[in-house]
Amino acid sequence: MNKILNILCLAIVFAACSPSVNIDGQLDEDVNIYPDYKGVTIPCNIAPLNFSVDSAQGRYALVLDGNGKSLTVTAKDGDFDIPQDQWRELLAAAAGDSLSATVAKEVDGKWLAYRPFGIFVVKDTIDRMLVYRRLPPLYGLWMNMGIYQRDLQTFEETAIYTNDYNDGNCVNCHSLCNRQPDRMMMHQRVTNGGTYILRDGEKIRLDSKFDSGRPTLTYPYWHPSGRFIAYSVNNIFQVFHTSDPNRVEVCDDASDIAVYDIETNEAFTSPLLDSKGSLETFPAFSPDGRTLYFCSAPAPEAMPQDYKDVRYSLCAIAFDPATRQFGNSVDTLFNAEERGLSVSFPRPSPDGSYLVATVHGYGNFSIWHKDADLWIMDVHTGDWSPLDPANSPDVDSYHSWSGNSRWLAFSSRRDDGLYTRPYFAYIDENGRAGKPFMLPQRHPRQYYRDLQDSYNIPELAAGPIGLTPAEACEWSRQPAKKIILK
Amino acid sequence: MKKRFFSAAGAFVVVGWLVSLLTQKFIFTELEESHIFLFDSAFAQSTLVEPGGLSAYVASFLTQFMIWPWAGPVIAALLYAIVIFSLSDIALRAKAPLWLTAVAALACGCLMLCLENNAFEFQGIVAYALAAACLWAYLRIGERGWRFLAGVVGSAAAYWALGSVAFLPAACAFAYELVFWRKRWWISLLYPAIVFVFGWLAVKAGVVPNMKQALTPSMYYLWNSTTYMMNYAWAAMLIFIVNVRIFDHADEDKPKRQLVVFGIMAVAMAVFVGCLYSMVHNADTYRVNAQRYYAKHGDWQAILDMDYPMGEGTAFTSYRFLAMAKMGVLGEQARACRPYIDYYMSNQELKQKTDNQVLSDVFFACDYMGQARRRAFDTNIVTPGAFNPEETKKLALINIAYGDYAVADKLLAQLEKTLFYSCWAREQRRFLYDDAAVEADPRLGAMRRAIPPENHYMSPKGTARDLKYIFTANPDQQVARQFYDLFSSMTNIYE
Repeated sequence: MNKILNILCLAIVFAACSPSVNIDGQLDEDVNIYPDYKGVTIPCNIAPLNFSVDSAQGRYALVLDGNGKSLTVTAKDGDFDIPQDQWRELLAAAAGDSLSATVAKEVDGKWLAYRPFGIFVVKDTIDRMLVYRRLPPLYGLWMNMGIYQRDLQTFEETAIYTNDYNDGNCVNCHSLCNRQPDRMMMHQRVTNGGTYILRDGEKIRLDSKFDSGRPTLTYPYWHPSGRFIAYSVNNIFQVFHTSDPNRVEVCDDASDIAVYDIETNEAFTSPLLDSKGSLETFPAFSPDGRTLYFCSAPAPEAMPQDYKDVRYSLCAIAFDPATRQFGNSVDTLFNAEERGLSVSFPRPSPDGSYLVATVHGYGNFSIWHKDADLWIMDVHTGDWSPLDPANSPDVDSYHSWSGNSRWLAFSSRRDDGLYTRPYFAYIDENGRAGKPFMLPQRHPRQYYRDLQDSYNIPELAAGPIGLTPAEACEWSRQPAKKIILK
Repeated sequence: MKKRFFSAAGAFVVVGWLVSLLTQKFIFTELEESHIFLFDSAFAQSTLVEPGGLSAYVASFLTQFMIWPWAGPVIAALLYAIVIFSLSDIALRAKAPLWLTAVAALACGCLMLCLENNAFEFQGIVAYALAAACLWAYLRIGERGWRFLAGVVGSAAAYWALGSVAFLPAACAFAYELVFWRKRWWISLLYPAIVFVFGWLAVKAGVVPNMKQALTPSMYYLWNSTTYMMNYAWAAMLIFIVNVRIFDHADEDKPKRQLVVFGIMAVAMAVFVGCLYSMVHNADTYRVNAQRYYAKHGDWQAILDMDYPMGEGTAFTSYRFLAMAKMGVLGEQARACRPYIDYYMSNQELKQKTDNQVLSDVFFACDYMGQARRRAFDTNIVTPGAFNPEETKKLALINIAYGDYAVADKLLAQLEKTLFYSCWAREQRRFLYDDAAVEADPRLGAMRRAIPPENHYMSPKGTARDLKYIFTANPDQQVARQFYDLFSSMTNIYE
């Protein structure tokens, strides 16, 4: 019996050790890997950056070195699955420095190494969870979709709400207040439609439609106090291109902004946010809650014919949360007319230093615009610049900040031009971005190649949202409150 | 006695096959496109891990063969055979009357009717057949201890393998033990209880939305349905088991009387199923499925030969137009077709899968790439697993024509994991990232030339203009020309 135990212990010890690989020679070439993690900047608390070597056949080895700590993994056909515990230890050792990654392939019993590449590990952590909607890229119809959360420190994904719980209805536009998992909202369309607000354990269901015949509540943004949510109210329609690479346009023929007060169940606005002559959309509060950013464009005479001439400026208006009063003037922070560009999704950093927005040629629905890039504004100077190392030739759009203002999660179509994938970019204290990395998966090549879904609205969250699909389904049976429009 | 039972069961299976062949042939070909089976460990893993996973996996495996119209009825008949022979053998061993085979056949008749509902998943029939086989296997175990052990373990395993239908053999096993007053019958009460607990756990774990789906036939429906024919099939098995006891030994020594009662019951069941059939059968859907099958195989004359007035069903009319265009007679009959063209011109926001599927076929045949891509995309989305092989094929070609090679690559990779589309997908790989090869290919080259160099928004009013561009760029594109003649005859109304 003791013998068996000894053998078992030895087996466990051997299994826990990294395999030994002695590099016998060098290949004078770079290794091509998927996802492209070469030279990326990562937080010290991210899940293993598993990757696979392009067109690989046979045995491959990966040697990771960082600050005197080393980790070796071997894999058939170059599909590396890095052990999570050892990866964590390695990141802890390399935090503030970089990892050197060497990939070697076995040729005739000898290990030949490609040129090594670096991975920069910063001490600034990223929030633990990423909340997103997963659905196939779609136009008019839908079937399977859901809002999910992914633990960024592991590979675990759980569903918050999937539409097989609600007769296949559309669930969309989830939003969190300051990344707090107990303060979130989402919309549900068609049956049991409405706006669902979760606040400190209280579950509220609102009727998103106003009696006055105004459009429904659409794009949200929480006030940092958790008392208000600013919404755009849009009349949205789609038109399709014959040959433009952008495929489809999502246009508003009316849009305004209103703020919903959770405590009084009232919605209020200002004439400056609710004018017939202009389209206001994508509201966002500043971290101190005293400024409301929004995008605004003059309403065109004919939609969609004039849509290519519609360009949204980034504007700001003062807001007093105590009196619920808006300022009497609007500042223009990004003048669309002057720059010949349009801006969407303003997102101020939690420390108030920067604001990142999506900038593109025209219109507002940047996720279908190949030229859409992330731009950063220094809030103190008002200077704008493209967040270039993070951008790609394809769509780079919806983004959210981490709690420490050092990480930006965003969606990009750079992988294949159609299916959006979440990426993460490091933003240093000077507002410069590092090379972004794609959301890690255990077997990323197979996973992303097989996945027929896009990742929509990637929002970082400080912790897991404690809502299950069954609970959300139960919630949807709650009667909907009518909003009082002031 | 045994011979009589199995002859009766065999006769029902043959009838089931014949009825399937004559009335449901094209439902099966449609099923083939609505299911996905990938030769891929990730697909197996993700399917098998769900409650009912084994039945879903087997169903997906079987449906891929329905690409041949004769295969669907054969596969269905084999599954019906499992049900009828399992139940007949139970009746035979219990010395029950012959007419009970008609009740077993009733269960299959109801399963057959389930297929008329496009919300029903073929998995339901596979699960039901396996459930009947499980019940049969359980009742074959003579030794009491082993039987109870098999019942307890089997109930748990069956829930995960078959889904909610596991409740049926569990309840039937309990009913059997009870009606025959077998020693310690009360232990069998555990079987449905175990299934109930597993269903509850599945809901709590979030893998099944609610208890209704966890424990009733609604698990096998994609969305809420008004006619759950599976309910009838479940009831038939329960009725069967109870009657095995009530009517045992009744006619054993009177073969003639036995046959007469059997005949009466068989007719009664057939009439009952016939009445249900008239409730659930949708002739429009069947015709469109048939048209789609003929269109897929280029049998345009068969579509024109279908005796049905144009305009009665919008999807039907669309295929009729397409067949006329393919045969070169649409343009000359444009005036006669005018009353039915509103469908194209006014319904730009179609919300039905069938309509989108039909339009994707029509626009693809015209090389109207933007519209074909949009419609095929939406059709794919509303197919379970977001993968309809025919639409995916179209989308792969369209993306190659547009030069969106990375997207085409992804779609071809999916098709390569299937049995019947992998060769085709591999052949298309040579076009990826090779513009010269695309332009030299007769089909893809024509598709690429059909994309207008100057972009504009697609709209109902612009359809005639877009079609004109297509056949001007490619004079061989006669389908677009035919549809143009049809649309341009309407310009006074729509422009």
